[in-house]
Amino acid sequence: MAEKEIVTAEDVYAKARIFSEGAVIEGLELPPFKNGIDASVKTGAQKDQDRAQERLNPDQIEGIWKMTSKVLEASEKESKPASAMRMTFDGSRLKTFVHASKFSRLTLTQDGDRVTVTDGDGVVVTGYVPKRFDWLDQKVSNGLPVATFLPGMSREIINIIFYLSCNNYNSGRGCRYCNLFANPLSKVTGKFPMDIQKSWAKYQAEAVKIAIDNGWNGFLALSGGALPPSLRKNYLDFISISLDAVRDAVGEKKFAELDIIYNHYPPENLEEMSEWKEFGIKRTTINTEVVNPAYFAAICPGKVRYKPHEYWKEAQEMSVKVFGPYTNTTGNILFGIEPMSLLLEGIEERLSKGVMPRPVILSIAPNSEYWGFHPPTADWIWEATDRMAEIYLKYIDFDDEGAKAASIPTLIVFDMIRQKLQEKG
Amino acid sequence: MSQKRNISEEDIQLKARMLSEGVNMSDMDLLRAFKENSQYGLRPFVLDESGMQVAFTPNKYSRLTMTLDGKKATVSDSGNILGVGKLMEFPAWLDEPLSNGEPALSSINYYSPNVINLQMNNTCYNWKKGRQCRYCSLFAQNAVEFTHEKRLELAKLRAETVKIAIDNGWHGVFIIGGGQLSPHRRTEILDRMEIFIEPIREAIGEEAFSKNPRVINNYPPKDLSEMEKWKERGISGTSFDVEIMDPAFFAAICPGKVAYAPHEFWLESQNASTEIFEWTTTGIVIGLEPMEGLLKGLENRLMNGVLPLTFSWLPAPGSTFEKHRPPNAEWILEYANKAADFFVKHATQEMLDQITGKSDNPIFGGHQPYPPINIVGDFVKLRLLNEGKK
Repeated sequence: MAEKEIVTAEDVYAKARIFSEGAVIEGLELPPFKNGIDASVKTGAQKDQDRAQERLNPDQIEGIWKMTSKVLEASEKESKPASAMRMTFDGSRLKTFVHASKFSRLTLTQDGDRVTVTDGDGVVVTGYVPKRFDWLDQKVSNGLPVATFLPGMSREIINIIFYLSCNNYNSGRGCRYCNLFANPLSKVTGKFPMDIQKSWAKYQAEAVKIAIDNGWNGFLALSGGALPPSLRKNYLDFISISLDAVRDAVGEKKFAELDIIYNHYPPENLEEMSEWKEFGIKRTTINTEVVNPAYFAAICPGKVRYKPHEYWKEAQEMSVKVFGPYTNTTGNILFGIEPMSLLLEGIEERLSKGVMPRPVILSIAPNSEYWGFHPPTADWIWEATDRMAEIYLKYIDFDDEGAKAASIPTLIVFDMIRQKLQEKG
Repeated sequence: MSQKRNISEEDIQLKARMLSEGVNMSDMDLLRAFKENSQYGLRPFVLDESGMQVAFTPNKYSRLTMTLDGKKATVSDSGNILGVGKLMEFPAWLDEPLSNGEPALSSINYYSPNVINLQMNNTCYNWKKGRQCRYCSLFAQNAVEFTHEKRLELAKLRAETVKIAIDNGWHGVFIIGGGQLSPHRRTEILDRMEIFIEPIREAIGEEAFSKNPRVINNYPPKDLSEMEKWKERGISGTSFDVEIMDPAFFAAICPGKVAYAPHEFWLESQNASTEIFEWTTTGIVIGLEPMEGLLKGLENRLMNGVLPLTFSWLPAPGSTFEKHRPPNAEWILEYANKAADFFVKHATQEMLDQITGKSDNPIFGGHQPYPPINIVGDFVKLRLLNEGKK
């Protein structure tokens, strides 16, 4: 029988510190601190991407995937561990990402898969690096590894990317903290070529099948970049291309069992959400990213250009009607950009409407506009999380379904909720 | 007290780190020493070699530590000494008693070798409405508005303080500021300025008065032609602080300011001020908005003849952003480096003299304003120094 995972306040605070401060990761070299700058901005992987951009030829699709695979491989070797190294705490099994920071007081040392985070002579937490899935190296039908077609996948989520480009990013209106589409492929053209998208959907579906055949059992999040205005009316066509490919790959029976989440823009006509079930969609995550309309305009200039903040909230409320509340209707909120009072007020407002916000701890991605910014202090994260947890417990019965409070690397509120529930016995 | 000596890249790097990371000050005696006589936060650290002033906040999780041995303060990172200096010292005249028996420092809101800050009012309408600028703590706690009698009493004491300052050789600018007035009080701004300005004029005489400029640091009038009246009544310049250069971030960070007037109006008012006054500046808080928009806005201001005074954001206790964190030192350096390019490209010689502390005469008494939180001036100075060497 598995040992019970006891979450202590110290564990939660350690996660808050790791997110706030990052760590000096032993053995990982970062560009030196100097005056010239740009050293911090352009990693070697980014330079590879710049070179790749020059060589991309939309008419040679297989060549694109080969190049993407190479860039990802280089990125995994260099910038990925630097920007986010995943670890699981001993005992509590809290999951977190450790971001590399040359100025942090925390130091991370690794011995095999064992990890220790220290502050001076004191050990903050010990844990381990979860084993990478071996099947990520298996090949899809064009001979490239599965990992190429499942970027950003985790134990919990595989992103089904139904549009490989982001019109916001390409037009200088990307969400300020986001780098998902800071890649050469996204910028191929104003309207992303359909042939490339179809080819992607095919290999992506093959990769999903390999994941499922190897026992992966998480959520499939239907996501992608913002569509250009002229293509928005076709969003269901793009979704169909990706989902039909998955259906063909895994078979109808398995497809019906998949937990598919819509994680994209609200439709122009909210009534259309009723039709989404026919596509196999079971839940939604419509991300407002922030709770305050003025912040929405500042942080997500592309999203606000599509529809005002209020509309995104209305879409979430429509989802509550169509798919059900809380775990069936969620929405990511960046935790650490807005003032605490606004954040708590906004979270409670959403919960009162049946929407479960997922407060994702702010971590700034390299090559995003916010690169160089910091999340708030651990004390801020702790206080806000503590107050947030009380609000969640007011609206959602977590005793009913423990999985609702499972530890997720980028979220801390559910760890605090588990700690509180365990404390209460 | 002024920065007359040469600065180095290492000094600027240390300043960027201290502004970003703060300093671990678990030694309470050290903390007390830095808090003594400080009106806002901690007394700045002054580097020995360059005289560079550095503001910082205490941060228990910073890797930077400080030790104090007599007056000698040392900043280290993991045992490596990064800088040696001392606490900023205040002139003795700030302790001289006024007619009410209290020290001179007690009557003013902020002192530096080049700035004396005099607030016209002690509350902020935005704070009352929950629309305060998110980084601001000036009117956060227990702020009680001055009565008319209190204002008159304070004006008398401030005039005494200014007289003492001038008699002791102080030369700088009077910043006449305060919180946002409530809508029904906004027409009183000219009278309120006068309450504080006229006693100073009487106390120090016309000659000294003319040498030490008076800058209004408040909201622009809705009718911009009113600034002509301000000039007639003894005002030398304005600092309508737009704080943020991207209009969308302006609305998010300064909800009270945007409720008063849109971003564009604040910029227009600065442009109008350049037509009326010799000096027009604007405060800009750096570290709250993405760099691209910030730099674009900064360049725009310089090209319009407005001197941007860019201040590194330090999360102040009591502000809405308390316990948030400034960007990292590399961001601050990159910003300052790029901003310095714009200054060198667009600023007038007077502005450059101003920002680098070379000027002997005009506004800010020949010093860069609020040096402990201004790193761009240091960078411009370094840049010009390096170019001179070439």
